[in-house]
Amino acid sequence: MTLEEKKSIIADILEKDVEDIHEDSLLADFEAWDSIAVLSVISEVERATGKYLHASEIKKLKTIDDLLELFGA
Amino acid sequence: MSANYLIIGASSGIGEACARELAADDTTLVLVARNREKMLKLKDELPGRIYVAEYDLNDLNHISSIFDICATEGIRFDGMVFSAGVDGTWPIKTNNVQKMQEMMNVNCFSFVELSKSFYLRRNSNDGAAIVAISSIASKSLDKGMSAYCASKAALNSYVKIMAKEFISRKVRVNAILPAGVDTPMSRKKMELLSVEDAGNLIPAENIAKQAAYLLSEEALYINGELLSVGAGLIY
Repeated sequence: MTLEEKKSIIADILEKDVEDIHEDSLLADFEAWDSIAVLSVISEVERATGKYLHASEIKKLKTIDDLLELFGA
Repeated sequence: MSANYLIIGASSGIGEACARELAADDTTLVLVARNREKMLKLKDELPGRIYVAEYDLNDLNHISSIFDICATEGIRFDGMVFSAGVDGTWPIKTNNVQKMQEMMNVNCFSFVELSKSFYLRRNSNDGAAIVAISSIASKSLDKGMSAYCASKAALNSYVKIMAKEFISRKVRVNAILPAGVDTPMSRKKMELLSVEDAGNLIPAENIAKQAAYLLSEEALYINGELLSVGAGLIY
């Protein structure tokens, strides 16, 4: 998966345009970073990597970069 | 009193609890699930005559084969508990067609096909009863649970219509709608969603007792009912 593709998935989850997704942005600054977003991340990571993460692992994340890392190499 | 019951989803959770509740020296159970090992282990622990049939309810086209045992063993069922189900939590934003369809197939459509075969005179006795394990989720309709809730809501609708269509042979059809029950499925979901407090999960044995009641003579005048067992959740 390319960086653009990962950013695009994250943009959809955070209900933003992909241009607004910057690696060092804080997740807490996004209004759409809520419990539904966490569920979306679980779904999308599973689709991309086959792994099911737990909600607690995702809630711990701080930045967009942390999210990007979940999608693997 | 001797009776013959079909239990779908008997290898774990509520289905297993129902098998334990209904098993008796003069009772015949036919257990159906995907996990043959688990069912065979369960069979060793239970009294009465127990048959085990491995079947994956994703295959909607051969469900009638589950009832071949009626002919081969001379059994006509007095009751069926439908306790098969898959769960899953995802927002509509990340909806997946395959997961959505599988959930509907296993949670709802398989029940319809099972009931269709169950209702045949050669497979069941007049006055038999069907109990479907639905969920209070079908009423509380929480976000993130669209596919699961929709499948259970559809199941509820089928239960009521079947109750109307099966009246001529006095076959009653009811559903139980529990809140969270202590089963491997619930525990797995809690782990996924990082919910620590197991607190109010209903013991599966309790739901099994509700099912036994709905299958019994005491529930003779209960039909097309959606029995909520909400454990405090009032919607």
